[in-house]
Amino acid sequence: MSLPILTGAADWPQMLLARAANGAVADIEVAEAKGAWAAFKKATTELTPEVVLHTITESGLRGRGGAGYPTGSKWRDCVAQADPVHYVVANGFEADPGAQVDRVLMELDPHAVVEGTAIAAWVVGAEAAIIAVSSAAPLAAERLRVAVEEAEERGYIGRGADGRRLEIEVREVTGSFVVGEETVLLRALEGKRAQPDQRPPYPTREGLWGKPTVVNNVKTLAAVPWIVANGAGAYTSLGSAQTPGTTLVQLGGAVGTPGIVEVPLGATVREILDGPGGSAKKKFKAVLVGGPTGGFLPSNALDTPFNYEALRQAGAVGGSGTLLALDESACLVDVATLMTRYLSYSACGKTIPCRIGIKRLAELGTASCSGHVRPSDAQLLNELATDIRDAALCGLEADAGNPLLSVMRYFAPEFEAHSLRGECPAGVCQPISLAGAVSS
Amino acid sequence: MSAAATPAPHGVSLTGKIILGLLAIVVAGALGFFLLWVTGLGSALVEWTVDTGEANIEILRFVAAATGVLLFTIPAAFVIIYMELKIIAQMNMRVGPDRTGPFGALASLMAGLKVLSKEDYTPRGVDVPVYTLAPAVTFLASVLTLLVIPFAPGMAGYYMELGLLYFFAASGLGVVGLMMAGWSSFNKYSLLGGIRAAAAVISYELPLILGTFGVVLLAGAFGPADTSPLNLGQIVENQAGWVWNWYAFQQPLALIIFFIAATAEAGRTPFDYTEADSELVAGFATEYSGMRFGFFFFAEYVNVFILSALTVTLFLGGYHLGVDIDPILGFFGVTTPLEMSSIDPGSLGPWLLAIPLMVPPVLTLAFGGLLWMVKSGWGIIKSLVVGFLLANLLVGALFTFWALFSFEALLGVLVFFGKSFGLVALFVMMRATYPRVRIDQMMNFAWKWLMPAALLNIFITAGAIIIIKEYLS
Amino acid sequence: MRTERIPGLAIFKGLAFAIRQVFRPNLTVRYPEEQNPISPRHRGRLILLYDEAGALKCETCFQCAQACPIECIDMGGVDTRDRYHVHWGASEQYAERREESALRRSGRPVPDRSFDAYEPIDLGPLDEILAAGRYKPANALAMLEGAQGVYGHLPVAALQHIAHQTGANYAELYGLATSYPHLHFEPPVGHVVRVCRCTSCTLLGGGRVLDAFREHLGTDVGGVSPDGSVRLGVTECGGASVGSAYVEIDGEPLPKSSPEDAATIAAALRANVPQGEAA
Repeated sequence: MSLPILTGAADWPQMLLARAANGAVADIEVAEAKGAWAAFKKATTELTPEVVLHTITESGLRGRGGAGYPTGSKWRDCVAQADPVHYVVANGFEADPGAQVDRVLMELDPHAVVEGTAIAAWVVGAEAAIIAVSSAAPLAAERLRVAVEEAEERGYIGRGADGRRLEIEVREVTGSFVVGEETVLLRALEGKRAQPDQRPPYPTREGLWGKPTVVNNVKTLAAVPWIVANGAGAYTSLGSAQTPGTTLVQLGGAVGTPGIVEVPLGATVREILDGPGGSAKKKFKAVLVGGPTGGFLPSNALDTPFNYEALRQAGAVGGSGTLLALDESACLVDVATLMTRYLSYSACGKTIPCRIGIKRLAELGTASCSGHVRPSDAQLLNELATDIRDAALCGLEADAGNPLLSVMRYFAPEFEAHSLRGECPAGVCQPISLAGAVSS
Repeated sequence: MSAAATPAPHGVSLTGKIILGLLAIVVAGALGFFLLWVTGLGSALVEWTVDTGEANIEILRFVAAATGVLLFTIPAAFVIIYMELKIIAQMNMRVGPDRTGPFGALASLMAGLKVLSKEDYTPRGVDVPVYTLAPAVTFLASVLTLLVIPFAPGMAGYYMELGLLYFFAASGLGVVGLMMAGWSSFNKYSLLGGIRAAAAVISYELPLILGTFGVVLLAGAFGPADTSPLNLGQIVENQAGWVWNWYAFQQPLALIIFFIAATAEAGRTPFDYTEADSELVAGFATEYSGMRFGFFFFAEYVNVFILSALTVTLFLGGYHLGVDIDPILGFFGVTTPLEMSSIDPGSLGPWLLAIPLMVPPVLTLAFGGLLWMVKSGWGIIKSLVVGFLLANLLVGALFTFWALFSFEALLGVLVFFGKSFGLVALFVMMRATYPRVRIDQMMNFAWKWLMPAALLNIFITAGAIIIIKEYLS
Repeated sequence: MRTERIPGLAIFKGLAFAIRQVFRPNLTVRYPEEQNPISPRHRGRLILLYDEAGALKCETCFQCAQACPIECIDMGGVDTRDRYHVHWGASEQYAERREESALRRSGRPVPDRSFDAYEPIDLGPLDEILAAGRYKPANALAMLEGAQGVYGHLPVAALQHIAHQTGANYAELYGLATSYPHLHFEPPVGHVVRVCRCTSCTLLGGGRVLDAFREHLGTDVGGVSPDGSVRLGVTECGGASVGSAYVEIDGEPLPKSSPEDAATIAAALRANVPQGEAA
């Protein structure tokens, strides 16, 4: 069941979901009528790869996968490699189990994703591209495959397209949380055990099958055609000055209207929740920003602008782009522990701080919920989180300490109520066992 | 775990092949014999063989002796290798070979087989005829000397009047073998090793030979006048009787010099320059592998045996027990020479009757008890049964030997081998105990100490002989 | 020293010392009849450690088995990931091996269950799969998925056959398979109930639903009900949960889940037991 698309504030630009405002545009006829594939034709006929690369760099497009790395730099790095074989991988895996942002995008506007991948492959000089989709999103995979076939019929991709070969394959990948990370996804595509690799060397130097590979989130790639068509300047005018552009955010939990909305980077969390979220009058206890590796923002921190740096300052992450609002009926320590436990299950096991450290964090969380904490546990939690961040090979599990840390930082009274007095203000945790929570 | 079933074995199994082969041989042999017998060729052939044999009995005897000696050396070498492994292990508080064969007895045999199974190659650049012949010459040098050593009264390969001279001449061939090996290997380090080895062997030959002069002088002065004092059989006979007749007590310095020089001649620690693995890999034998190296290896162990055999012959009474057994036998009512036919059970005293009755149970208990103690898995009954069988085997072998030869021969052989292997064990224990000396220290010792000592010994012996002959008799 | 004053005495003293060693007891340990005692802290033996809370530290990430150069590690026992078993470790911890553990402590011979999986299977279909993958270890994932398609799960014999034919390590294949949740090592038996554990579903009461199923099915996550008819597992909803936690019965999502329904559903599943395929 897909979440509905919400309308944002009046002055919010519609870029990613522009074509799909009134429903899915799966058919290529309809899509082209709305402007799909125009950018690709323009780029391949009138422009050169260097020009397009320059445009992307100038636009300031940053990766929407959560890390926010400038896309232009990534593509430039790949182009600069001496190896003639390059690959492009579109990461539509969507690791966050509760998020469906990427999936909805791929279902509603598959052509945007395919076109973005095609342009990226053309710029970077790749002859093969893979769009990786989670096997839990069969509809998205199906629509993408149809889109690819239609584009091949039109001659945009496939053999003989513009003198170059470009094969796009839609691959369904099964895996756990960590497969969303770029090196893990590459290993999974190669059919190996899904574990991250040490970076550097980055995938732009050694990626899929050891060749230079560009891995971008589907949201990033979906923005590329728009930028090529409308120019870098138009893009920089969207969003805020340091972080131009828009992204997709999923609202859930105790909001008035759960759904997905396109948000300019820079809008504050409160604006997002009040406006499209329909929660103008509601009082939240906390908002979980970014999925399992995100952090909790208290209600007085909701004016944080939704961009990577500001969120990280506040102790959360952009991550999968989910905002989960929690009201007084939820126990934050309980939820934080749940997510830490989920991360512990999903750890691939390659590094010791992840494998055992996150398990320890989960145990600390469980101990907090049941009131069996020791005085040194707070410091231990900090140290563990720091160690995990330092040692983790993948960006996903590096932030494993965020839930508990943000609870400790912003909701210290609640934390202390659990640890010192064995009480749960929300009435969720019982001193003996966690009720309403998943036990291990 | 494979899906495909293993194909059914076809062809003849190993047992089948052996049986078929034997059958073929037997049938062919039977057919041949039948043909020969029928046509009368067989009897003619036999007659001719007997005639030529009788005509050339000496040569035949020599050839038989040489073959026997050759056949003897290999098992002897194996036994010595086994002794070395086990004794050194025990001195190191280890067990040594334990698993191959009972008590690891087959370990040396397996080592020999391993050496035999290696690839036989000739390195490029070597002098092929010399390279090929060097191991043979070295081995020959050791084996030829065995011909003259008396194992028992009336049992020597060949009685030579100049036995001792022949012995040293033959063992001197070993140096030639070393030099051939060192030179023909296309390797300057092998050459250096060969030269070093040759220098050491030659340096110690002088004290070795000079050490024996004392014995020769004594044998010549006090032995029977008609035989040459170089006759080893005669030297042993001179030491008959009680243990103080042995030349060891009359020539103690010579024994020491001879033993030390023999250690160096055999290339044993503390003088094992050829085996100085940490210095020259395998010295002159670096380029040898497989059975070629095996020959050098065997030659060394045979050398050890013959030098201890020579020591026993010259100094330690040869095959004599050191005890005059005639009075002892007289006590039992038996006279020498002790033939099997001369033992009349009816005339035997009670003691002599008791021995055959006691020996089997004692031997059985001894063997059985030993087996039971050491083979922890065997029960007492099984140990006793196997002990009984082994005892029978031993007694049977002894009696067969007695029947074929004589009682003195049996005793002589046992005594001789006991003493020889005792000295071999001493060589082995010295290997386990002493560090290696430097080559210059070794040469120093040979020229500056042993040779003067040997000369001094000759001087003293000669002087003593003159004094005794002139003034004391 | 006396040995230095009398020349040659050292030689005999040395020899005497060496000969004396012959009569001292041997130090050789005749393995395997005798064995050296191993201290409890010995680090050469693989055991799983516990932490101060009494929980097993092993995360069952299977990296040790994948890395083992002689492929001597296998895993069996119930684990939270619903996929595979942890063999070595204190079997007392896992209820399913409590009897076996008691039997071992009694000294009676116990059949080693680690060999249960090595049942012979028909390896014919695997040859097509191997040929399609061109016998290359790089295509291992596709071949394993094919094998699971044929057998319903990944029997050990199949993994060994693939390992032999492609030249990949058995441990590599096992490590690869354990990293993907859609590959199973247990034969699909009976019905399977899967509950999502993502944040949204949990906030919608998923934990209580899971607890209810655990109680009524009589097993934990990753296990089978005592009569062997229903398995309990986990899944990911992908955001598909609206209103109540996401629960799948044999791959079909329930429109609405609640702890109260768990009892009836469990009873219904147990009563109706065809051999269904896993989702």
